[in-house]
Amino acid sequence: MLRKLAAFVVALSMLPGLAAAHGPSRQKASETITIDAAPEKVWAAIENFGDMSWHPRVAMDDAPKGNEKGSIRTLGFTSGGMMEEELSKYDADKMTYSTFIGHVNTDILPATNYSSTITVKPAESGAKSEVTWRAAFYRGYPNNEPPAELNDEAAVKGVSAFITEGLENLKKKVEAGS
Amino acid sequence: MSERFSRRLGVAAQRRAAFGLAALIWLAASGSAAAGDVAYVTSQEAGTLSFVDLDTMAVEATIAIPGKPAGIAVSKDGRRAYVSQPDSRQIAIVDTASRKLIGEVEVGGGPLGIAVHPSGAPVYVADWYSHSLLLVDPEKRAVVGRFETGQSPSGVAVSASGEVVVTADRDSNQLSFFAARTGEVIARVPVGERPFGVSFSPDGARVYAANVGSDSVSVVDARGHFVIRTVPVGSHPYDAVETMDKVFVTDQYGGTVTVFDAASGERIDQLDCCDYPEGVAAGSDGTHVYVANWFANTLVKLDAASLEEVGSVDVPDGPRAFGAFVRASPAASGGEAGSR
Repeated sequence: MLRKLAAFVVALSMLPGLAAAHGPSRQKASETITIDAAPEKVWAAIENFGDMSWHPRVAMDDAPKGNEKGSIRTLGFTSGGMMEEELSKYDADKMTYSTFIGHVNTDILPATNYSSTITVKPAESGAKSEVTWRAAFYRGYPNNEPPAELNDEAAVKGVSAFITEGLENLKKKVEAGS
Repeated sequence: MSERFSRRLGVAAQRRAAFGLAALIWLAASGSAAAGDVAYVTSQEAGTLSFVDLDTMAVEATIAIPGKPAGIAVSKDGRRAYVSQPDSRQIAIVDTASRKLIGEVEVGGGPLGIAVHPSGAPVYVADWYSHSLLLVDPEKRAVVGRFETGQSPSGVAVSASGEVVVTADRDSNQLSFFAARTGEVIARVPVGERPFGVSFSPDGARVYAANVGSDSVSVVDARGHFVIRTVPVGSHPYDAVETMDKVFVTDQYGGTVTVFDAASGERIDQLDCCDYPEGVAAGSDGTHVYVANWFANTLVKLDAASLEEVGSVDVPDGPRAFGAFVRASPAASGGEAGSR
């Protein structure tokens, strides 16, 4: 196995084009959804960093340090697999927080170095809310010639789907009054 | 052209004319001259270079640059802009008067950081993969030499005197100081983790390195080649620049600009101004600082004295503007660009 890998690396280095190509560049994804509820109500559903039950793909969430900066939450996914996400910024007054996942489980999310921000803002003079969730990340395969499931396009598609599903479920949940 | 479009154009032109008139009145009233600076903003996702008039904060033109443009350098006379194209492994040469891409130089490897000697040549290109600094002759349009750096050099800066070139060797956690003329290694200085952007202080006494991996800026003595101090900043700093005795640092993941005192290293403020801020540069008179916001697709203007945001303009997707991307316009600096 090791020898095979070594032979592969040698073969790679003999292809000057491959060895010399540049690394990946950072990608972005952003979605906004309007929710028929006051901002305070929407914020109440997401304000606890240790409770991501509003996302349909999250089965379990635990953050021993709560909402303090640097807090780490361990996420368990309905599809199986775990990820650790750090709280890098938290501002309850502005109803926003930012997170960072250094080691993404690419089976769950085809990206690496994922950072995100979720913000609740009033819409229609506070009768409704606008929630924006944005993320910046690199593709799941850090080197050149990525396989199709881990290239830039796949990363944008995968993260966008994760965000959209989360926002849609949040809307459903809050509008149902639960 | 549709009627609606031409009407919109008309309104924009009127607005611009009104704004120009207001600016003229302001100039006459205040007696202080506008700086006449231009920002050259590379937008990596869009694949463009935008020319931004920094007095009016308006995009004057945008041209296509292939190869995922990232790094930018502008000659001292403001007449040539050089853009690194990491995807096509080239350097683009842009004539700033005609705003045209006039040539591309094959450099191979992974060109990223770029700077130009104050005399106009050579152009220095950090090659991420060959671990060297390439010297490009913009007339011959060829690589004419190389200096050996540490692993994965990213940022490049040339001293105002033109005597010293510095690279931030990201994966060696060090800066390399070279004698510009001979390529002799003057010093290798260990700094924080994963230094990315690098710049000289206006007086040339210090060099700043933004350490992406350790959320700090290393302040290095440019003559003694030692670390004076390490200043904690926001998350994932990208680049740092000194003006008006303050150092402005773009904290990519923090979404902030950390400002600290150049003499003491003490924090003055952390501005909640930005959105994955990357390239940062001061205007030619030093009174303003410009920040490219990679996520929000804007260029923001900060007052270096009051630390207030005083302007913003939309630019194409994914602005990086990695390097010294602001220069006095060729006309303002006494060039001949206005005579065409």
